[in-house]
Amino acid sequence: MTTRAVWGGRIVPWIVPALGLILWEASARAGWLSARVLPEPWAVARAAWALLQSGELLADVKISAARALGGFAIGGGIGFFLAVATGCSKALEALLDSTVQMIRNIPVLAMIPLVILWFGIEEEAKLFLVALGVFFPVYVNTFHGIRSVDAGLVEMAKSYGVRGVALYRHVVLPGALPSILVGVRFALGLMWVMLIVAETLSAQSGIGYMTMNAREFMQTDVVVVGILLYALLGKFADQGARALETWLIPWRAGQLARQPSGRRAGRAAYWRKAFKRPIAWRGAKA
Amino acid sequence: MTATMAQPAVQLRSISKQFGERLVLDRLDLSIADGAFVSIIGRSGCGKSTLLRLVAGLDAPDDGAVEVYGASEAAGTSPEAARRRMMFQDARLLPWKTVLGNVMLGRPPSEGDEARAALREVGLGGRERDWPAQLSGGQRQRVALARALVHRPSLLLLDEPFGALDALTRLEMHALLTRLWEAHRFTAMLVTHDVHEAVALSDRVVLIEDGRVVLNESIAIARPRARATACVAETEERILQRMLAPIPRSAALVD
Repeated sequence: MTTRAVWGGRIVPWIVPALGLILWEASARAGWLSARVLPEPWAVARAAWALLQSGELLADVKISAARALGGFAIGGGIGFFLAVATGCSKALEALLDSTVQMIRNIPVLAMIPLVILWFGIEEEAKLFLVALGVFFPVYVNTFHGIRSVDAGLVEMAKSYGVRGVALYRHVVLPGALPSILVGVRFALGLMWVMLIVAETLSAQSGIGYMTMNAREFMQTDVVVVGILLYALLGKFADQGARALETWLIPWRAGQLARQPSGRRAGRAAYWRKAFKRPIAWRGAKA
Repeated sequence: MTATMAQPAVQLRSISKQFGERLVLDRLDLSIADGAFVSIIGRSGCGKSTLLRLVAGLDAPDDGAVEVYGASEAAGTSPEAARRRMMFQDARLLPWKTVLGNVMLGRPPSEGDEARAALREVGLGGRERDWPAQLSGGQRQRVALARALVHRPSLLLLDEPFGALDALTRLEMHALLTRLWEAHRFTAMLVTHDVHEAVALSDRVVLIEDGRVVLNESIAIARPRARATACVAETEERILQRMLAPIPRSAALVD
C-alpha cells in the first residue's frame, strides 16, 4: 500500500472523531460543559474501568447479552421455520402469510402496554419484546429469499432427479441464504433496540438497569458508559453477522476475485479487514 | 423413410402445444432412432426449444403423445429409467457448490470417482474445488456436460448449449461433444439456430417451421467433419436456402 493510500484510507476517517474527542475533553476542563450534562471522556473511561474492576460491568453485559440472544433465538427461530413452511407450501402461504403481513404493520413498540399487562415487567416481557422485534425481519426475508430462488436452477435440479428434502437442502435454502442473512442483520439491529427499550422500562439487572440506576444518582459518566456499551455490542453483533456471511456464502464472485484460495483464506482476510474498520453504531433500523 | 426395427429413442405422435393464442407446435410427428445425433433447427420462435422441453418432460403437450424409449408420462409409465438429461442454454450450475459438487448433484456421495472421471473427460481435471464463478463460459458448459455424463444418459437433450460461446470455444465444444457421443453412444438431440453447427455435429437435421417438420434430412458425411470441405459447405448451403425460402403450409412435409 502506498503512503497516500494509508493516509487516505486509515488516517483521514479518524480526524473528525479525534478532533471531537479533544474538543469535548477541552470544553469539559474549561468548565463550559457541566459534568451533569456530559462528563469529560476521561471520566467516562474511569467510570468504565471502575465498573469493570468491580465485576459489575461484566455481570450486566452477560445478562443483557443473554436476554438479547435468547430473544433472538426464539423470534428468529420461529420466523425462520414459519417462513420455510409458507415458502414451501402454497396452502400454508394462503393460510398464514396475509395474517403475518397484517400483524407486521403493528409497530412493535406500540405493543408495550399490552406486553406489560400480559407478562408484567419480568424476564418474559423482555424476551417477548426482543423475539417479536426479531421475528418479522427474519420471516419476511426468509420468505422472500425462498420465493426468489432462480427457477431455472430448481427446474434443472428436478430434471436431474433432485427432489423433496434434498432439493431444499442443495438448491432452495442455499439460494435463499443471501436474503436470509440480510434478514438476520436487520434483526440483530432491532434486537438491541428492543432490548434497550425493555431494559429501560424496568429491570433489576443488565446494562439498562445499570444506566437507569446511574440516572437516579446523577452519575452521568455511568450513563454514557451504558450507551457506549450498547453501541459496542451492536457493533459486535453486526460484525458477527458479516462474519457469518463470509463464512456461509464463500462463493460470491466479489470475494473470489480478492481471495482465490478458498474459504479459510477468505475468512482470515475478513477479520484482518474487520479490525481495521472503525467501530461505529450501525444497528438501529427500527 | 424406412422404419427401423429397433425401438426409437424418441417418438412424437401428433403433438400440439399452445401458449395463449399462439400455436407453437402443430400436430408434429417425429421419430428419433436410438443412438442417433439429431439436430433440430429453425428460426427463433419456431417452437424448437418447446419441442425439446416436451421431450425432456419439463412441459406437457396439449395434445398428442411423447414417448421416450416406449414410455410416456401421459400413459403413466415414466421415462425416468431412460435417463433423459438436459443441457441448458446457460450452464445452470449451482453457484454455492464447487465444480465437483455440481457434477455430483443427484448422485450418491460414493460416486466421487465417477464425477472426477467425467470432469477429466471434459478436460477439467484438477478444477474440482473451484467455484463456478471462477470459470469461463465454455468451462461452465463443460461442467454442465460432465454433470449430464455422470448420469450415464441414454438420451442427452441440448438446448442451444453453445449459443453464448465465442467461435473458437464453440469449435472446441463441438469436437468434445462429438468425441463423447462416439465414446458413450447416447442419443443426442440438439436444438440450434446455427446450420453449420447442425451439419458439423449431427447425422440427421430436422427443420421446423410454423410448428411442423418441413425438412428431415440425414447427413451422411464421414466424421471427423472438416469445416471447409465442399460436401459440408454444399449441405449447409442447401439447408440454409431451404430455411430462407418459405413454402406454403400445404406443402409441409410430414415425417
